[in-house]
Amino acid sequence: MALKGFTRNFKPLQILTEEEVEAIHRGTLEVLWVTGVRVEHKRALELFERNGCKVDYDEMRVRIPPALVEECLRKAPSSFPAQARDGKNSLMVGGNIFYLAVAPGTKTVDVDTWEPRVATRKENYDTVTVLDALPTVHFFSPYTPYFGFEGIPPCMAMLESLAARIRNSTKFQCVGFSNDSEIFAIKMAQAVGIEILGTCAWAPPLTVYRDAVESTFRFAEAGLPIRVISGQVMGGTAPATIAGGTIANNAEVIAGLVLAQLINPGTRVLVKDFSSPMNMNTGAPGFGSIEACLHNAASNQVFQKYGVPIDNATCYPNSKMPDYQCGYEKAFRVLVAGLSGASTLLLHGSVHGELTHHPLQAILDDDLAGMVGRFLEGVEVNDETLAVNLIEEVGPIPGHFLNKGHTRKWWKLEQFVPKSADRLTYPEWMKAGKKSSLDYARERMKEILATHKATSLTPSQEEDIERILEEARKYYKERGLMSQEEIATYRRSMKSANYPYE
Amino acid sequence: MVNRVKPHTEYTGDIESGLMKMMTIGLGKHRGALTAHKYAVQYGYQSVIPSIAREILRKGGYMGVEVLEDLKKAIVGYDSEGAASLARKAVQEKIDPIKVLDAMTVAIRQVGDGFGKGEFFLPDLVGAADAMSAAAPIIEEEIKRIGISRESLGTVVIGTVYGDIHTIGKTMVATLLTADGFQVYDVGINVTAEKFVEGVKKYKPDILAMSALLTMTAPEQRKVIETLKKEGLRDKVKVMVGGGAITQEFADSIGADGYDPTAPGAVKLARKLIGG
Repeated sequence: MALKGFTRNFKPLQILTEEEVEAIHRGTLEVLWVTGVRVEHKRALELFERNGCKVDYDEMRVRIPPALVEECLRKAPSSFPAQARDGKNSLMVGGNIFYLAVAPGTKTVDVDTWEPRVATRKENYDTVTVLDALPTVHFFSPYTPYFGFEGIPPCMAMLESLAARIRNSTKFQCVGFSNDSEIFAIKMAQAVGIEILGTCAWAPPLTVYRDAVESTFRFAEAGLPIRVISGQVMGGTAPATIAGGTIANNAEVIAGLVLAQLINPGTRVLVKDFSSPMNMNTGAPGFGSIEACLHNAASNQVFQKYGVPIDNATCYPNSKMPDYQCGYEKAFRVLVAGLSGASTLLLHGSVHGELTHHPLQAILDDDLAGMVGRFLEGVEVNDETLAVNLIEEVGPIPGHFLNKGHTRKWWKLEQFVPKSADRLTYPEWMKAGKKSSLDYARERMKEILATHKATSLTPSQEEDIERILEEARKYYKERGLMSQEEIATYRRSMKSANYPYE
Repeated sequence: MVNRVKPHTEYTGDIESGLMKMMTIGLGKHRGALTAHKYAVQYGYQSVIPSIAREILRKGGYMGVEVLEDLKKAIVGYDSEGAASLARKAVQEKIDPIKVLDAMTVAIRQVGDGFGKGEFFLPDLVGAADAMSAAAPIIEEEIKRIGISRESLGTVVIGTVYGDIHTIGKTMVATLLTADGFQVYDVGINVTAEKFVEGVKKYKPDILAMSALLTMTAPEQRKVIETLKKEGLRDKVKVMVGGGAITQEFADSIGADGYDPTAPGAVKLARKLIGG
């Protein structure tokens, strides 16, 4: 039985009328057929052409007929399973289930100064342990928790990150692609008998580069699921309007979905809506903006019509620390995604954009996730919860409910109790040393690190992981992607007595 | 001759007032005015004013201030087509091309300064840069044709490294550098080391500027510098690097000449690197 995740027990929020959904669908079909998309990959162009698309090889432009688009949207499963290392953590993506995942950060952050710095190997592995312990972390997204850590050359970051997650967590894993890293990622997954979700990342507007297409072929041909993402910034790489942005993003991720279905019909696809308005002062994406929420809600509604699971990307805050702004930026994204029917969302740990991640933030996010999950469960209504007889029994004051069996049974089912929130009265708070949620999160992190450990890999699985990493190191060394100095630092970092954990 | 917009009450026509009327009625003094009025009674102002004005324009030596003002407006107003057609008009009217380029620089600087003060925003900056790039080659061609030269602050080749498709930071820097008076050649995104080197050979820039947003693509900057060394070009060009993944330590470790985390800072850095 798959991991439960959060169940939305009511109709999703609909912010568009049926006519508006239809207008976005029609616009998407028009863009895919009239404008088309640029696919920088010869084999993919040939595949599109064989299936009835108009292909201009000089411009690498593919125009996809509406009938093929709609056929491929039907071929992609509306729900699908995905196998984790521990069967209890496997996913069943789709329907009214909402899963939350770890959000990546390039670096860690110093929690005294809030300045970013590169994580150590031990910090990376410990953070995976903390995330593995958090119940609302349903799976890990690529590059999590960190894009890399001390001693690792950049070309090995993707694979070292995956190895750390396979070693220290039994949850479901995703990977990106970089310089053929997916070849080794797929090998690692096969060595430990798990599935991983691959990535096909588009470059808005309407373009996909060779490496992303190569990754799509590799995952679809291996029978693995794939997420198709773009990453538009409205006003920059897409129209400034949410409706226009939704069409542009649709065209990109659906073109990716069509490709995956042509490579291997029935390929499990999770499309991703990663859209933010541009900050017109700096050019930076407004990750934590309310417009990103609107874009998510509109896209979710359109993909419910298609019957294809949709990821609402990462609710990255623009704030630099877990403060008031960070709280509302994250809360809106998670709540709107959950209400409007997203299948997945990356939440835990991101401190600022995709630049920093910290396990303390992930612990705070675990409470936020729990609150939203509780909301999605909705209001249970039956004779027992309506409690009319009980109200009759208790009557007016001096009657009360505290001593009732109904209360004892039901409060625990109805209330979500956050683990790190400060919910004390003033006198209690002062007596306890004026602790904030961050102080509670520190205590919880200490406790997790002292008590939690994911089931270890078997010695032969561990041997396989290390062998595949070594194969990748050799591959990148031969391709000149590691300098002599980087190799020396890397080798030194591997000499620790407690390698690979520190 | 400078006009302001003033609707005329007496008549209507496609070209009814403003500069045309000032030329027709005003330039010929008392006698000219009398003649024009006389024919106007007979043929109507609608046909008299344009035909007399056309004759004056054909015979008279003049410099069109309004072309330059309109060109500035077109640049500030993101109007690429307008800017290009005004540039062609400036060439036709034989306006000193150096003065035309100066006017364009004034316009782009107005946008750049406004951006710095928070009065203009990125779309204004990029829209103006596009309009400027539409007009500039026409004027540069004219400068070449008549064999004069214009000094730029320095030449920059700029792009985002291979594997990285992030364009905005790079375009911001390119535009602000242009606004500051640099000649900028933007070689785009996802640029291989070989293409950067090709750009250096072709444009012989003072500065090569590279962007990389991703940790994964940052090492490409090292590769470009190594390729420059192999081609014996490293001492011919200053290298500045930037982007989300870059730090001062990284810039030092790959042997770049400079790094700055912000676009306005990159302009100051460029000035420093060329010793300006």
